[in-house]
Amino acid sequence: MDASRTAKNIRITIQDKIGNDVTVDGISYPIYHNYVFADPDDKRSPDARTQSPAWVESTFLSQTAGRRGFSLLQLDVFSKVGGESEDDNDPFGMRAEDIADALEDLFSGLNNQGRRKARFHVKNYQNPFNPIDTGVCMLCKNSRGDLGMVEERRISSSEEGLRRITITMRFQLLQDASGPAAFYID
Amino acid sequence: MQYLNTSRGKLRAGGRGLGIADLPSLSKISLGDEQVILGGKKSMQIEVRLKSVFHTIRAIGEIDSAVKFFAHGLVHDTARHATRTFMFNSSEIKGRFKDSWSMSFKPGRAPESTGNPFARRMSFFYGIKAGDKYYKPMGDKGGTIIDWLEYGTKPHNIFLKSAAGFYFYWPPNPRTGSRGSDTTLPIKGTEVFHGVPPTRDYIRHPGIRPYGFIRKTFGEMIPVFEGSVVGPIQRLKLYIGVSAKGTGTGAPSGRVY
Repeated sequence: MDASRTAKNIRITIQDKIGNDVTVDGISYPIYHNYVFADPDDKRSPDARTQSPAWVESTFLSQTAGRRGFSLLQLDVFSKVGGESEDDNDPFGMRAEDIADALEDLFSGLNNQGRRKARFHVKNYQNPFNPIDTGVCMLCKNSRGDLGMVEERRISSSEEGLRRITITMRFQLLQDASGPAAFYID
Repeated sequence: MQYLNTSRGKLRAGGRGLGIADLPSLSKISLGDEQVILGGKKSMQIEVRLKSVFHTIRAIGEIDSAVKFFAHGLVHDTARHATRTFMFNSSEIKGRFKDSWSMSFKPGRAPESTGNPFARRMSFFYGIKAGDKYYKPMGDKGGTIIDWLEYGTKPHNIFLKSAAGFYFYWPPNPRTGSRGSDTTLPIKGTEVFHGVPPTRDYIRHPGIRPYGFIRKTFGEMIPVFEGSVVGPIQRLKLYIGVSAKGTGTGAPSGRVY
């Protein structure tokens, strides 16, 4: 199988593009990839005041990009509601919304070169410290065909003092998006 | 004013909105002489050979029924496909959830609650849903089980409220060799017993991972819908013949082939 089609390279390409943190108003919030079942650094504990007041978790729901399908990525933004007198509280969920907007901005619109951010190349992470561009195009595209738009964005019910916004993104290889006439040769 | 494309050019539509071309000299038209293209939509081309206005009305009625019947069959098959896909995509969830998916059909327009912008224009609709209990708001936070399964939850504590204790039961499974839950033993690796009495008034739930079966099914069904419903309707051709003899009494003689 070509390196551009392996689930590992597709997954890491997307995660690498999203990065390990997201910055809003000069403050960086961590992004934890594949942290299902986890509570990174005990972040949801109200007593853990030294920890980041907000963070992002990512998980892949499906990984059929490169297999005539699509990969669905769920990004959860968690933000502590906090107490009224606390400096880093988020009583109205605005910090959570800002972080979610910053995540959407990674794929929406044009970059500095005037190219769509929704189009990028799959990289080969055989050597993680020196990824090689495979030249195969990947698209962030929702089910309606809109490039760079999220599949879904919703405010989830609060979870024990946490604001939560869930974003779903959909990724396809250009080959997958080309319809049934296109096929893989390797 | 509506117009129809005909072999005589663009003609004013008449017939009280029935979509019949208002032909200039209907009585002079002999069988097979005139060909009218009704509608003019890209998705469907209907050709009607006119004998009389009566026959045309009849033919349009048949066309309407035939198209709806045709579309209904396609949508029905696709809805069944979607139901099976929901079952498949939720098959890794333990319990009876995956078997609770059901499909329903109702004639008439869809309720506004479906959120479908075309609800008012529908002549029938299919609904697919899981068992009712999965949509019931749970706990203080207002979430539902189907939300939790679809989007996942963080690790959380479950507190006792009115029950005397926690009770976890699962039956023996001959396939895996599991003997089922034993209320006299704690759950492996924990201090929580399967049944009463509890050692604490709460348990730590490890959280639910997001399964995303609704979003997966939605994404998978779009190409299926395009291929199984939109495509065949776009390629639909109806040939309507009017028998040369007719009945002489004005009885309908149009047939849809």
